[in-house]
Formats: sequence, C-alpha cells, structure tokens
Amino acid sequence: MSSVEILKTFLASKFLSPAELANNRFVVRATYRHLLRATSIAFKGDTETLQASRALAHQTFQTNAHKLEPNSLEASTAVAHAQGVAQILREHVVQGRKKPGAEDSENYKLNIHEHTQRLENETAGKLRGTTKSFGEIRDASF
Amino acid sequence: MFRTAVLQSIRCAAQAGVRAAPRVQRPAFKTASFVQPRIPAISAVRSYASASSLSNDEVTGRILDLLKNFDKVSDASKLVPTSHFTNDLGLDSLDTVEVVMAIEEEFSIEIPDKEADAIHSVNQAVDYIMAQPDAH
Repeated sequence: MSSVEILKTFLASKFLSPAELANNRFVVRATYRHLLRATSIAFKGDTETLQASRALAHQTFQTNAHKLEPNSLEASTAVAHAQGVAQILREHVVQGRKKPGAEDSENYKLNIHEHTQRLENETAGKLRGTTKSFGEIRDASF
Repeated sequence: MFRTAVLQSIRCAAQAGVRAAPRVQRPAFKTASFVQPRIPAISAVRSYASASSLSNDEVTGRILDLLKNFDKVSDASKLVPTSHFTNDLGLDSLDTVEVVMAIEEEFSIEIPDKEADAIHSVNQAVDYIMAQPDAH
C-alpha cells in the first residue's frame, strides 16, 4: 500500500506540467517573501534576532527544496507550515522593551502594531490562561 | 418699561456682537480657503520633482552597492548593470527573493508578488524602480 502511494507521488511529480511546476515555484517564492516580511515586522530594530530568523528560514527552505518531491503532500504541508509561521510572526508576536531608566523593574513597553491581532474583550477573556498549539493559532479565524 | 429697554439694549449689543464677529472672521476664513487648495498643489509638484530626480545612474549605483554588500554574490567582478542574478552572480531563487526584498527596503516601496517574481537582473530592477513614482 505504501509503495503504491510512493509510486503515485513519484508519477505525479513526473507528470507535472511546466505551467504547474512554475506555479508551484511561484507559490513557494511568494511564501518565502511573505515570511521575510513577517520577520521584519516581528523583529523590527532587533538586528540579531532578525538575522537569525532569516538565516533559519533560508536554511529550512533550502533543505526542503532538496529533500521534498515537488507536488508531494510533504511539500505542500511545508509551504502551509511556512505560511502559518509568517502569520504567527505578524499577528501574535509582540516585542517588549524595558522602559529606559527603569531597567530593574519588570515593566515593559510593548510594540503593538497594526498587524497585531486584537480580539473583542469577550473572546479575549475566554482565551485567558489557555494554551494554544501552533495548528490552532494558524487555523483560527475570529 | 425700564426692563424692556434694558432687554432691547442687551439684544442690540448681542446682535451687534454676532454681526461684528463674522466681519472679523470672514477675511481670515477667506484667506484660509484661498490658501488651502494651493498647499497640496505645491507639495504634489515637489514630490513629483523628487521622484523624477532619481536618475537611472543613481538607481543603478544604489542597487549595485546593495549587491556588493550581499555576501552570497560569488564573483564581485561580474557586478555590472547588465548582471543576471542567477546566471552571472550565482544566486539561487531564495537569494533572488532576498535581493528583491533588500531593493524594496532600499527604495521604501513594496513590490507585489507577480512583479517581484519577474525581476531577475539588475537591469530589470532598475527599470521597475524607475517606473515607480513612490520610490525614493
């Protein structure tokens, strides 16, 4: 059964038309671009983290490009994962900085920007104290 | 009788006050409405002038400088205005995306996916930037 599936995915990758291949490549490049934009929003002014996150994105995309068959389920899952990461970076990551002159206290100034997800008070109250998995945050639409 | 006289005089004063007020304010309002349409006109001309002041050479120079600092460019001697990102500079598709992103940041614009994907060489990037009035 599994060998049949492997054969199927192999054939599917063989018979992908040039237009479909070009479209797949376009989607991957667009995803990469959106991910990079998300890092520049999430880690604005934080050069070290920004460079580290971009290096990680580059490395992961490069490994997957060599490892995964085009048109395979794994490849599309990896693209969806990258889109989820981009969304979480853009909407759910907020930078905090200790107030200047008050480094001893635990007070942070948050950089809440236009892309940060803001919920109704009621919905936010329901979520308080709960833990969300990566998939839940990615699939959630409020 | 005295009360009506007082009321009348107050009303007169009040009306005079009301009448006097617009007389003072009207010229100010008029000049304001006269000046206001001219300010955007002037600034529009200015922003147009600053956009057109981006010369072809300047754009090319800034893009080449940016590529010079990009550590993945394998052979810096091949950096010329006609360089192709993949064929001449040895960049892969991910590097090309990064270069186009860096160009976006350099000229403070955001290039849509379709158009960003069509930029494969220094020439194409220069042509795209020259066609953008917002680039600076």
